[in-house]
Parts: sequence; structure tokens; C-alpha cells
Amino acid sequence: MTETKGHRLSVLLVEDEAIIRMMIAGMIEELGHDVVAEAGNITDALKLAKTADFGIAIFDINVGGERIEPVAEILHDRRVPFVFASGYGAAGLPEGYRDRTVLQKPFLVKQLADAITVALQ
Amino acid sequence: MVFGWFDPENREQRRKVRLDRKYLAPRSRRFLRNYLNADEAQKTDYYRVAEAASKQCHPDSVLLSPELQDAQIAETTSSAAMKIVLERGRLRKADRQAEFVTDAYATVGVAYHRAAGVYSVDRTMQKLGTAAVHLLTMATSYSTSQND
Repeated sequence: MTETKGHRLSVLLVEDEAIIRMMIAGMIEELGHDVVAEAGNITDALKLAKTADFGIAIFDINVGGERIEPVAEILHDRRVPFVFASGYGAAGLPEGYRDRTVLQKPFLVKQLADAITVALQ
Repeated sequence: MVFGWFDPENREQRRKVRLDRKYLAPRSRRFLRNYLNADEAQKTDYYRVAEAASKQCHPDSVLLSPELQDAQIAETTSSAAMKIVLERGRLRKADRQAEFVTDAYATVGVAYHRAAGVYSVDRTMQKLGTAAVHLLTMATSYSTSQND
């Protein structure tokens, strides 16, 4: 099992496709972390980004046709690290976040572990 | 765990794995193998048919209560895919296009059970399921890019 243990992280996960959300949640748990908040749409993601307590976020860029930037902005202001997961890889990164860690979907658990490590640095 | 055998939940999980191994796995394996051998243009056909099959099996959003958990969505979707595979299995076997579509439904069924953790007791099915989820992920990305 691949693990990024050292400390157990609390994760916010935003992904509109239930099957992909479940897969990523399973990977996060496999890495020894906890998914403490999940959202399948931007409205819920915005609420959680403002109020939930978590150490890192992993999110899709296009969530049910809406862009993730407002959520990323909140986390940037809160100084919470985050990782983008996109079907287009780095090419899909929003303007202003080109230096952020991005995972190209689909990805393996090892790639997720590496992305989390980079985002936390 | 010895007494895990008597646990009704474990028994139900093993039953699902057994059925999936019998009815879905061979078709899903064929679909994924052919996908890997397809050229880029042909791959878009796999994305389209997989995405359509997934949508067809996904529970109607009108019927979804906000409390419905991902695992329930996955179970409903996988069950619907299994039902379609069994129904379509009775159709003309020589029709390659029909078989292609049926294989896509089987792949959807496997993918949703993998995502729901049904295959945690079966390493082979777990691997097949992971590949199926990855294909559906690419199908979703392809579909999104087409709609943009």
C-alpha cells in the first residue's frame, strides 16, 4: 500500500461525478488520510470551503459545468493547500493557478500521494 | 476472520462478486482490451458508448434524494447495468455492434461496483474495476470537452 503517512490529513474533496468521487475518496483513505467533507457541486463546495475544517483540498476544475475558481480563491485566502484534478491535466488549470499542483485524471494512488506531498511543501 | 463467512453483509458482497465475475467480467475485459488496441479515432467510440451506457444506468436525478449516498448510487447503477447486460445477452450474438454496446454496459457495472468497494475481497476484480473506472473517467472528460 502506498502511504503518505507522517501525519493523517483531513481532506475536502470536490468532484461532480459520483463514481470518480468514490474512487478518489478510496485512494485518499488508502493513503491513510480522512475525507472529512465532500461536495458534488459548487454551491456545497463554497459552503464547505468557507466553514469546514480540513488540511488539504482536492478538486475537479469543472464541477457540473461550473468553474472551481471561487472555491480555490477561498482556500487561497485561508492558506489551505489544494490540488486540482483535471481530465485535461495542466492545460485545464485556471488562469492565476498555473503554478498549482495538478493531477491528470485518471490517476493512480501513487500519483495522488506525490501530488499531496508537493502541495504540502 | 473465520466468522466473517456468516456475516450476511460479507455473504452479500461475495454473491455480487460471483455474479459480476460470471456475467460482467468477461465482457468488461474484452471491452477494455479492445479499447487499448484501438487507435485514437476509434477510442472516441468507446468513450461515447461508455458514457451513454453510464447515463442510461445512472438513477434518475429526479428520484435522487439529497441523502442518497454515493454507495447507493453506485449499487443502483451497477444493478441496472447488470440487468441490461442479462437482457441484451439474449439478443443476436453475431451482431458485433450489439455486443460492443453490451460490453460497455458490463464495464459500467464493474466500474460502479469497484468504486463502491465491492471488490475489496477480490484482487482480480479490483484491478479490472480500476481499469473500468479509469475508462469511464476518460469518457467523462471526453464528453465534457465535447460540450465545452
